[in-house]
Amino acid sequence: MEQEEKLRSRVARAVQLLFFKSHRVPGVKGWELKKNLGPAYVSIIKFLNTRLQELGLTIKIVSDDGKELSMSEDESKLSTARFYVTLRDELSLTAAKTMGWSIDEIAGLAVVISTIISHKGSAPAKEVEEALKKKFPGWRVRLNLSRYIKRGYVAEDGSNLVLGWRTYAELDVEKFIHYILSV
Amino acid sequence: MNSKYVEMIERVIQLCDDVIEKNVDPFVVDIRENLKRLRAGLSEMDERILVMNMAALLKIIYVIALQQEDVKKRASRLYLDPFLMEVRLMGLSREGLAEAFLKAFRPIAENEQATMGFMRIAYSYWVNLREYSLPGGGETPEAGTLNMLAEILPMEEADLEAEMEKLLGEMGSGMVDYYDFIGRDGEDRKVFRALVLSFLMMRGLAGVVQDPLKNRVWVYRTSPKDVGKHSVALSI
Repeated sequence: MEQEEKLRSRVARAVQLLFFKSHRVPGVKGWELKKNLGPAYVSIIKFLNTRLQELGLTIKIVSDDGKELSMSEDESKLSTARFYVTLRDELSLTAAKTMGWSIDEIAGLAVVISTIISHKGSAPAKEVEEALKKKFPGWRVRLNLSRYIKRGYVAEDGSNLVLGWRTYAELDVEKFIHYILSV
Repeated sequence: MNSKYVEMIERVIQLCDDVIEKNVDPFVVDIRENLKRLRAGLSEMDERILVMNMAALLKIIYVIALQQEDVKKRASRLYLDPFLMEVRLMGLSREGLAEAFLKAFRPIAENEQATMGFMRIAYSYWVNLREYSLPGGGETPEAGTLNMLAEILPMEEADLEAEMEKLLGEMGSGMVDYYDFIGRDGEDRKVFRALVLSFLMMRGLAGVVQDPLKNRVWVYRTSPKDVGKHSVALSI
């Protein structure tokens, strides 16, 4: 009974850590989970994940270099990786709208990410802007680009743009490119 | 023959170094051709040239490895030619792009909350805000307000009252075009008439109607009880 209560409180603590943003970037590092939940934190996260999946959510682990990791990965890799709670299933356009996205914003982000990927991960900002200007007015291009940068989908690297931490956390890049080419 | 051969080996080594160090396309090195050249002088080689030849051969092997890596990358799904991608993107509608994105998009579930970091940002924003105040809308201007006006425009309070009476008289009972009304006495008095009119509005003695589609504004005479308390910004 005592064990059960202990597990319940640790799962509750994991929920707090994963859902409530305590840094500039959401999610929580593996070592932070270990510090708060103890050495068996991966088992607690696995248990929480099964419960979250029933609710249409899932726990995603992303390494520093943007690769998705599984829960059975090496402890040293997990401790520096970031754990996020993301939606498990596909979003409809209507659902995305209710979450505050407009079609133009989503389409613009799709153009930006595809252009960066086609430049092997780092595209000149001017070229990205030009690509956007073919579909959107100039004022919206600047507004949207600064919004993508602020949210972490894109990052500035000198005069180039690269994919930001949020793109790696929220987008299956390979699938996305596959869909873009097969639409 | 020897000096020419050494020169050629040096050129091969230099070319390979450029490709390796400067991240140049590895396919600029013609492997077959360079190997043929290196093989050509094999029979007349002394020890020094043989070492140079080996060094060039090693560099070529490294370039072959880079070429192999490049082929792998191009063969993978993630390699796309920028031009082809641009053509593809141009061919898609906004809805098509959005749908493709959403199929692979799983947004993070996160909850914003007040953290120490946010509190610090909010505090510095508040501290840097300029002091700001508005005159009470819909109420009679106070003596202080009129004193401020007197500083801007050299006139007595009684004169301002007389001017307000005059403007009310000019307004008549119907709607008057705002820009015609303030510009009636010429450009010199335009700003002054707009100011006096704003005092009439503050007292509830004049109302305003706007048509944003035609960019037109009308003013009309009214009584204080008919006027709602809201502020309107009108250009002069």
